[in-house]
Amino acid sequence: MHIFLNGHEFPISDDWSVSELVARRELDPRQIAIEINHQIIRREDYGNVLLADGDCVELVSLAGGG
Amino acid sequence: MSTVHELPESIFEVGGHQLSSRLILGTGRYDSFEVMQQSLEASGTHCITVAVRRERLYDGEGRNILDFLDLDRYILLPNTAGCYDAETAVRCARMGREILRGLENPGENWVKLEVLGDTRTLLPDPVETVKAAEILVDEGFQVLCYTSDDPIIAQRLKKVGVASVMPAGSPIGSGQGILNPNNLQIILEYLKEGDPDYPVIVDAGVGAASDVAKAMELGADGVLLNTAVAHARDPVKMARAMKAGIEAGRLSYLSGRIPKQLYASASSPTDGVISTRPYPSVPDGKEPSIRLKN
Repeated sequence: MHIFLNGHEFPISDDWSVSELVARRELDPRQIAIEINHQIIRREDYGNVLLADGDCVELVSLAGGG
Repeated sequence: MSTVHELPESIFEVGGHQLSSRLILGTGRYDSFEVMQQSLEASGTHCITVAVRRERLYDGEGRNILDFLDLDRYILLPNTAGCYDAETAVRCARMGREILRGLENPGENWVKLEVLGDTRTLLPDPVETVKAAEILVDEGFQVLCYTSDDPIIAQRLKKVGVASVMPAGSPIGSGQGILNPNNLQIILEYLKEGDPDYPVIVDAGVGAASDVAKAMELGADGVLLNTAVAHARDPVKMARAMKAGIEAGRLSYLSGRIPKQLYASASSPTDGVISTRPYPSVPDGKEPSIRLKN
């Protein structure tokens, strides 16, 4: 099973929630935003949303910009 | 008469935020996070722009930009830079809002909307910009909208409900300054007619402090810039110069400049001079602008 994470294929287990993904990437959930199939997942819901095979996941944070 | 020691108004209101500086500074393209940090400090800015990007959280030394931004001091303004259609820009704005919500920064309710039309010029796509602005305003965003210096699009954006129209002086990062001050003046007149406090911010194209002063002197409420500081030979010093440019331009605008005229007007008395003067060369049938007594 896999998702497309930021445009790249990424293997996951079928019981992974969004929280699991964030923890495995060693990210601070307060500093990121996650969108699954063009829909924003609110931080409070990370534990309740399960990733599905083929999901397009965008995981973003802040960078310098003008 | 006001004192010259300080600006007559120190607070600038835009998008529901009260800013203590009229300079909005970008956080991109600095050689290091340390230089960025010092430049922000030197500029006196209160509001800084940031970009939303795919998980690439660390610099070459494994450091995160957020470790160098004082979130209690600066209001972050997330942008939609790099988006070329309304749908992507709207998604980007929503993700920016979600990040700022996590950071508990007051900037969560606003966005710098930027929908580009072309990779070489980075000029805005007016159709997609208006479309995105409509959606974001409808979703409750305070939209600060990057646009060209076209007065008609500027009017359209204000009508859509954006919190501030931000015309470009010239293309992003070009350093060409304000290419069309007449258009900027028309935008200011149109948007502020009957609504003098409506904020118009010049965004993009600044090359030096004189460009900032020019924008402010024309009556802009603020200036947003990035590359002119980040890529200056001495970014920290240029940041300080930009701060001075903002103050000089604002004071000059508030003081009311003298009208431009074709001929000179002597500042020393014309009576009592010890020399004789030639008649000025004037077109036939016109009076000389300075008449001699003999």
